[in-house]
Amino acid sequence: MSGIGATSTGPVIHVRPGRSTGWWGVVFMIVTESVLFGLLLFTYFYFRAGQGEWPPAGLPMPELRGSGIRTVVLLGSTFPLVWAERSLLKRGHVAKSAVWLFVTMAMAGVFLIGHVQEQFVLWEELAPTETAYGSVLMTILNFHAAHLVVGMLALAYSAVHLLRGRITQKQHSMLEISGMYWHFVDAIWVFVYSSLFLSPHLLGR
Amino acid sequence: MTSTLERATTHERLDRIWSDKPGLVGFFSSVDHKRVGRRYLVTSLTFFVLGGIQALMMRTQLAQPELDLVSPQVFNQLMTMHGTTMIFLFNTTIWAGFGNYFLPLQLGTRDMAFPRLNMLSYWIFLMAGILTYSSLLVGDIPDGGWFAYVPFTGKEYSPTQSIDYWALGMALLGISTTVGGINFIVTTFKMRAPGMTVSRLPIFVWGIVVMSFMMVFALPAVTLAQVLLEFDRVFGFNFFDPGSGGDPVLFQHLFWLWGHPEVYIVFVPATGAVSMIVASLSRTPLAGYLLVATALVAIGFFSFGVWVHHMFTVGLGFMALSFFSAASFFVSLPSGVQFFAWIATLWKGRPSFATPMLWVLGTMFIFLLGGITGVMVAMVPFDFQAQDSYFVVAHFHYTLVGGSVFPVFAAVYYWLPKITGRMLSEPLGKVSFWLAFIGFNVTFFPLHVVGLWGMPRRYYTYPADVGWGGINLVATVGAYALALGFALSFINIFWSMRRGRPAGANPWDADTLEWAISSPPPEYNFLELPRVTSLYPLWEPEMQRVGAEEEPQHDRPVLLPPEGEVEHYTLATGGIDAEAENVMAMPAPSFWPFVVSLAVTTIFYAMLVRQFWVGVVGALVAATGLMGWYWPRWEEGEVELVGEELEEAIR
Repeated sequence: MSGIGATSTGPVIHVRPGRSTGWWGVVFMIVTESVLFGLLLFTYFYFRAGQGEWPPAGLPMPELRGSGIRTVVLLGSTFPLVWAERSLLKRGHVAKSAVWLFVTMAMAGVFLIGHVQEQFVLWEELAPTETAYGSVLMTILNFHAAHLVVGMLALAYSAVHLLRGRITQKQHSMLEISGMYWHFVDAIWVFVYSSLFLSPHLLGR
Repeated sequence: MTSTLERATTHERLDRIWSDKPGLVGFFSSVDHKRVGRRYLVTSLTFFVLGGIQALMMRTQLAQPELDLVSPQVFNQLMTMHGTTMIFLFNTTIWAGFGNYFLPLQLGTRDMAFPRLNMLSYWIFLMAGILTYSSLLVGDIPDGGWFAYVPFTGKEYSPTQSIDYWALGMALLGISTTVGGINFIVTTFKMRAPGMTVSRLPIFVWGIVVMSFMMVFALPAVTLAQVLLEFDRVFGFNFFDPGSGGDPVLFQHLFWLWGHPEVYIVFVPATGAVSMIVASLSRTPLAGYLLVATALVAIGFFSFGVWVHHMFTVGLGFMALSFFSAASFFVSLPSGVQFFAWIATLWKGRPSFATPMLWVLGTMFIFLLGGITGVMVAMVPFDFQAQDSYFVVAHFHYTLVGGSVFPVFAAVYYWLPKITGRMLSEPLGKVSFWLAFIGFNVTFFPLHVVGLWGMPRRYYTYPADVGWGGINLVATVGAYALALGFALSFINIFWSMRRGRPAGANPWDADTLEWAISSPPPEYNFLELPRVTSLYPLWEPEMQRVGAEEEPQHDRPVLLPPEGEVEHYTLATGGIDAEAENVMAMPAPSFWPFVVSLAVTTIFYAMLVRQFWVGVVGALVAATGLMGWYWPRWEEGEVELVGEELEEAIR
């Protein structure tokens, strides 16, 4: 490290650890995307407020069983991700960390397959080209799914670099950042699920 | 490092490390914040000229009753493109330009936090402008107003693709603005010079940061409005179709939920610049720095609570109208605080009436009138009367030209010498100012009157027998004087780049760090990264010597990478006090930002021409590009310095 900052004598700068710029960047990306999801849910409830019956007459209530299982799987994927981070950061176990990452992605994959199956059914039942209810429901669900795919790609990208040895116990911000994004995608689903699936049942037609 | 020889060597090495490659390679791979800033300024001013030409065409058409120089259809297109260009493509981006160039310099660092994202945000801005303007090539020009209200802009009433050019172009621009805003925030959080506490931030930085926070929170609303509009238009969804449970008023809510903060998104950085200029040309610290900073933050907050005042006549409830009317009165208070701070600064200082100061005084006069009519239209009964008349046109031109355009010219006269190294002509600048100032008032003041007489806005002409011809002719003559005034400033800019008097490091004897280095600044900005002990660093005696050719300072790090390496090193700081945290190796120049922005633009064009497989290809290229972009540069074992290692390294 001798070549760096061939400056001067005497202590000038007291160093303390801090968050990386990348971490802050993703924090604000999450903020702006949360606003976007918030406005989409606002749109959903705005439509609801303008309708006598919800879901509008003739349309089925949201189904809870399959979507409930998928929700448990998606929210459960938080745990292997936390273990992946811990294995690397606390103990330096690269292989173990990578395995947990793949478990996370596999659980996300299960959720995504369920999402695609559900889309085939919903597209028939709700027809977004027919009602505003269908439009807003399909937009939010697919918008979330798109975020999920981006999160999976980020995790896969981290897994590759973990196995290539470019993410290490000391140099792990990429894993930390894609992990944070994944937690965000999970957390957003809590709001999406409560609004789109649970609220019609809880608030009644 | 003590000898002059050593400093010269250091200078040479830093210069080699930070310079872009020559030619086209450097042009497309550069990530230099100064280059991004210059590009933003040039592109943005080009759009300003285009928007100005459209305005002149409209004013010419309106000079006399029942002219038909342009058809009603072309008039709608002019009106739409003028508003879109001036709000989206000029007023917002010009401050991003000044911010990109000067924020890192004022913070005393070597680059923005995300240099590649920075260049991406410029490319996407350029391509979004081109996308919207490419409608001119096919003659299918947006004509739904800059606000594009449904149902007029829906598939049924706008069956051609004209509205798609607007919605897709502006949604694309939203990406650029969002990443730009995040970049400004993180740069300010993490890259301030050591010692630059929150209470020592230059006021322009406050302006840019508040603007950026507003972008992060407000932009999703308009992006969503545009995306949902496109879903309705392209896929036949029903968001805005009341027959299927949708609601056109939802579009207005989403649009103005961004649209009102947007007014302050352009106003807040402009007032930040005005505060800087007032203080340095009065040669005294800004009066009430803390209050002004607080006012900027307050404007940021309150601007989110007033959007419904654009919708008073839509037919909302009595409570909503009362609340938003009251909030609209309230938001004028923090702007008032800034006004009194400027007046107090002028009062206690020894103001020089150089050209930047003239534009600042023009700003104050014009914005004051805009603020007064603003209070008038914030009253619901008055607004019912003035709605959709030329009174509103006059009001918002007074706020936007006073709140942003005149400050832009003040900033050009104040800061351009730092960018080009040469001063603009004072006599030409003064003529330009007076022509623009008088021209502006002659154009827009009469429009208040004719608006109260009942002349409706957005119509391509008016009948002869209502007697509006004379006053409209006056307004048109004023518009030409205004245009000539601005044109003289453009001539001045070109003249100064060749013939202007050399500016030297600090022509205004100003206090912020950008004036510590030569004009134009070296590629690496600061030879030794400055340490700040005051709100007015350059007015402190010990800080007079941070310039590149000056005597060495022994307590400031240079941060050179190991011999033979070309990493861009700068310092990461953090916390309220900006304590040093780390040496950061900034991302190297790269083609990926250009590739990714092309790919993203392709996705939007694919939507436009309804070729969705092209969009899929664009998405794949963008994803691949991002992977290449973030490919880790560090070999195993070579990690960024942390903790003791760093302390060791910069000792």
